[in-house]
Amino acid sequence: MTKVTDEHILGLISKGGADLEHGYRLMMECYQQRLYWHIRRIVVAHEDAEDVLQDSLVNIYRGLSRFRGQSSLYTWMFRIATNESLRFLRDRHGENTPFEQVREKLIGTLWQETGPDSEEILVRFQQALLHLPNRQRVVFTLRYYEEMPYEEMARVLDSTVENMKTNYHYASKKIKELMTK
Amino acid sequence: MKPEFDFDMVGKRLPYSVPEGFFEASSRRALEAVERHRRRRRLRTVLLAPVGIAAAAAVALGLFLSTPDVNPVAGEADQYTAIDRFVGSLSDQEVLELDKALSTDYFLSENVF
Repeated sequence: MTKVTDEHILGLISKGGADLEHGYRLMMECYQQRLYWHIRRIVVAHEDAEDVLQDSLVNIYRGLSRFRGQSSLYTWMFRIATNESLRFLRDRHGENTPFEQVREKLIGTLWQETGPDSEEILVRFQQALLHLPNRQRVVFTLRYYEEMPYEEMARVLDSTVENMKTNYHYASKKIKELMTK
Repeated sequence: MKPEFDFDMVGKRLPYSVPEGFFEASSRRALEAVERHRRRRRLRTVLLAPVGIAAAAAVALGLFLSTPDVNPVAGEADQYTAIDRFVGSLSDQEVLELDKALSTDYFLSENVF
């Protein structure tokens, strides 16, 4: 079976009409699960991740005809999903709510979402991630879970490679400290 | 002294799960949302077409009459906004029914020749 490539998907999309629909379906098959887990790691609750994923998928469709390939398809989609996730958190918790308060709410959600059978170290690890500021948390998850190159991360977050490296370094250090306690 | 935490103890594992069949259902929902979006866009296009034609006709007439005081496109932006608001206020069912009606209407259908 031929592996579906981004070039194949973009080729279909550029033709428009029924081919665009086909390209969109293929894109969902290839990337939906990765997008979901990326969103889930940011917003924590499954129901919230479900909503943000739907919004992201619709926005991706809306933007397909305008996508010009300045970045990879994967980077572009992750940028949309990341923006939607961060916007969700801002809307849900309020722009001016102190970080500590938001953190405690998300930790509470984490414990609700993970049952007694969940592996304790995995829950503690996610809890440690929630101690990071939102953007730093996104930097860490993109690098750690997606193994995204720093150049691509800089495009996702509209930043610089140096900023991404610095944030990842400090995030890793903070998580190690929290997990070692 | 406690040993430093090793990321390999966790790897990429997460403590979360998803309901069975979630991703298939999610794909279906996304495609349905996309179809709703396309219907609303189609409806907007059909409703806005007369506004654009009227504005173009008014501009042509204004140029013909050479009356500098006449502003032929005054209110056109208001009509676009009003139509956007109208389409936005419709429920999905209403959009579906209106879309069906317009696509079979002899005078409004794209297939009229």
